[in-house]
Amino acid sequence: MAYLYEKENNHWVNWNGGSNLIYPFYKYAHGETLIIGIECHFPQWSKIGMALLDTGAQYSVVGEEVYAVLSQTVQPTGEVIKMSTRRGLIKGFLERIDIRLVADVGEDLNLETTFFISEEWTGPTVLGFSTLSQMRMALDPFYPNPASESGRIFFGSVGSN
Amino acid sequence: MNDFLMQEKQRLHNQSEAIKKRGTFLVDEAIRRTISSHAEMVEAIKKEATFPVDDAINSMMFSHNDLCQRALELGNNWSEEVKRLVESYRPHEAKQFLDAVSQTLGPSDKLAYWQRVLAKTKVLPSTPASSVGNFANAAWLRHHARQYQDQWIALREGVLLGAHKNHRELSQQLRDSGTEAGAMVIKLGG
Repeated sequence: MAYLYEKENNHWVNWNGGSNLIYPFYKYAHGETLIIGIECHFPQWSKIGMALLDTGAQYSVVGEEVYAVLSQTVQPTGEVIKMSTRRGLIKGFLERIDIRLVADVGEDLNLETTFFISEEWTGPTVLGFSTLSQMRMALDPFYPNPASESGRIFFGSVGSN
Repeated sequence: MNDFLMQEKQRLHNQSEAIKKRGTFLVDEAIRRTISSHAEMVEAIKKEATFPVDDAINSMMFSHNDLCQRALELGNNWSEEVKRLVESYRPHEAKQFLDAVSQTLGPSDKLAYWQRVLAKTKVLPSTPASSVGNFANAAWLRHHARQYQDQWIALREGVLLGAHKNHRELSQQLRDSGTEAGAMVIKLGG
């Protein structure tokens, strides 16, 4: 079914706009594991990849594969700032970028959000709290059943489904 | 004005209660004073403190008037304060400070930049579901990922389109073969 429902004025309405598989415990390079990997599209550069869902991270960060194409078209206009990451202190800048959380049921969720962009970051794309706090999402690691090897993320915009 | 001072006194009192819990910090004297600026308040608190209080001061929430005063004191160096707040993972406070900068120092390109990147995430119009072949891709990863450790791979509907240790080389391969569109490109570990 891949939809969640909520009761509104005695009617059941969709809670989420779309949903998709999650890629649990996806093994990224450098020995890093993406506990929850989700499919993510950067429409401006036609890049489809995987992003780490990380509610514990304050900011979102573009992964190195996105940086490789982005750095050819985006000139840094902002000030250089330093961020403390699990790989140490790295320099970069903040910029607004459109992303699409891709669904296989319902609708994709399109967001304009701020990413930290750094040549020094060799990790995956990270979707942090600054992005996730403006959308609704729910995770079911056992969807559609406990024997399932994938699980599912349900997402949507707040109050507009 | 009296109302304002009473409010400030109450606010400082509330802050001092929180700080007192952290140690032997004497702020009562500072509260009794008429404090007119952010800098004066900081100095007053520092003078009364029996231990370094920079962290405590930095963690306080300042009123809009305090922030305006702070912006005026910093002048052209105001963006250093924004950077400091952003780098210390306090974007909400950075946004509040930008409001004060806007009011006291007026518009500028630098201010527009910070307001843009610190704005809330915006939800754009949704589009029909566009994920294709995700079950097949997930199954491919489960069965074959270990064979391509530390390589970039491109998948579409469970079919491997290419693999290379260098992302740029893989992108070139995909462009040359006309298979770049719709490919999910990811890096694999062990």
